[in-house]
Amino acid sequence: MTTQKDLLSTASGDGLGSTRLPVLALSGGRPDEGKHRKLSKGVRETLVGYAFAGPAMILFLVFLGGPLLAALVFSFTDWQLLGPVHFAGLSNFRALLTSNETLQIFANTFYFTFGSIVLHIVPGLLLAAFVVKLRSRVVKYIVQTLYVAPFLIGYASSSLLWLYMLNASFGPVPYYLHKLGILLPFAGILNSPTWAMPAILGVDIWTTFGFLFLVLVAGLQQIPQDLYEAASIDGAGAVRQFFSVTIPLAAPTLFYASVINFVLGFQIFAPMYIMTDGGPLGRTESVVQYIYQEAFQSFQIGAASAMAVISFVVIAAVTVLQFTLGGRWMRSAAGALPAKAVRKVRAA
Amino acid sequence: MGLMPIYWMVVTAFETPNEALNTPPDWFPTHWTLTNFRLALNAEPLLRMLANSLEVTGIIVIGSLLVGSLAAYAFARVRFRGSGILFGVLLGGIMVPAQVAVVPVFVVMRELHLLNQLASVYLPALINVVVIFLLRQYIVSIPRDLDEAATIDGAGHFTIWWRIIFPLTRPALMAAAIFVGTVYWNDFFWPSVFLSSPSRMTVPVGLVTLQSETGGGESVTVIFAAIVMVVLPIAALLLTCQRYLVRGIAIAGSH
Repeated sequence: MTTQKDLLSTASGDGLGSTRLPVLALSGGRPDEGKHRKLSKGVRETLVGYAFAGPAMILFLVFLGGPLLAALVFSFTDWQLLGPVHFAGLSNFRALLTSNETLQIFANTFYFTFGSIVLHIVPGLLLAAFVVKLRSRVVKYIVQTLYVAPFLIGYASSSLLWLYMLNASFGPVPYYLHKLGILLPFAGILNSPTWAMPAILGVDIWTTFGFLFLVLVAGLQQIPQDLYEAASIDGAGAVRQFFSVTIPLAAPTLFYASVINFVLGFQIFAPMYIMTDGGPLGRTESVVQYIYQEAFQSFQIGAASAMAVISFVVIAAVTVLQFTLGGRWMRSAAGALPAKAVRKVRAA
Repeated sequence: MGLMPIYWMVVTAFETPNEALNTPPDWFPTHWTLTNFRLALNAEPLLRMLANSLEVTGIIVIGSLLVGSLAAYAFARVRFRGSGILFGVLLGGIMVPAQVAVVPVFVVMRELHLLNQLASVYLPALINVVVIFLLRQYIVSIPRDLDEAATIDGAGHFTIWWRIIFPLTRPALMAAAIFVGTVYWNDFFWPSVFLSSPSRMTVPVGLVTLQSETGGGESVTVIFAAIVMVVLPIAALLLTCQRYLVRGIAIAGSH
């Protein structure tokens, strides 16, 4: 990683690149001619570089970088898509930050996101730790296939499926819960202010568990088997091995998985839109749903953009926080690795 | 246990509406019928939607991989002024979520008269920063010997990219293709903003439109028939490519 960065910084700092000098020294004794050829080559390389990166840069400007700046500009206006544009100062932000609805929306989104992270990663890690130990490749393949299947049918189909699974009059879930003696709200799970969000979380786990699970399996597979062997020679049982070898060494993977899960969770839209439409009593309305309604149903471009800017800041802040805390945790976790086990592996 | 809902959906798709509304739920229906499939096809242009989804996903996969591979080559192999800064700025694009870009891009598409056109869905997806990052990491790990040999033989950058680097990055390209394909095949938010008439919709938005237009519990068999028809076959196909999905995650996860 470091060497790549070093290469890049020399390339950007000095387009001529110092590593070519020996070649030029070989190619002829005349410094002037060498210098001339070197310069034209540098210019040519720059042109080639821009030509290759050009399509990506143009698309980036039109569809990512430009829109980010435009959203920032829109957020200071009262634009309603068809009417004239007026500068509105901070009024969109003031309205958002002082309304109870915004508070509710952020509470909903954080509730969903953190619930999603915990419910994906804790069972996901336990299952992944079990699966990587499986000897049979066929069994491993079957388990992975079973868990990843719902991810491949996508949120729209899975939300529609669960809308009926949870239907109060004929859905299998309320029927069997009732049989088990669990009292459910009469109007149905999705119409209950308390149970609607946990139900949506359940649908989210069902849909994307397999994806995060594959991420964790991929990470755990990179842990050298020798470490487990060394730990078991030291008398560590399965539980001890899990806490002393798997968790510290899976730290980068756990960290990566939690960052992806946060970013995806904060963008949640389909299950709420399809299953509850944000209700009941606004208890499942998410940030993205609010932006969708304000921008494309009420045409309040200013208000929608202000919310988009706030959500961008939250995502950026939490991502940075995760990187800082995650980095610290990973270092301390790596330090906690049983030194004896590491020495044994090195000696072997 | 986890796949029981899918089983229930498939079974219900072949039931008569009356049977589907029975409690306890029928896990082994007695009367099988294909009526629901015909009703679903009559209610919405499902096959058109399937074709739209294939077109959009196909263009996104091929386009984003070509754009991404070219850019990745530039940042991994060409030494040009400003490449470090440009790459840094590009990576920052990972932080721009769809909900931030959607309003300004909607305005752009309206100006270009591309609203309710498939292009409004696939054009913004041609830039995929994660793909560029992944491919660049992969290219950096390829030894330069081959490039240098080709340069001595008089090959330019384009030849080196097309003849050497592009074929050598095939594992990463396949992984990225499956991953990008799965994500955009199932994308719901963006198409639901940009596509408004049923004949222009992709499958996920089309299914939700079918649900909201037929509505109520009675429609459950029709909606499940539609999902069984246009979603499950592709999901099964993707399942056979699972190996690449796992590899893509492994490559993305280890950097």
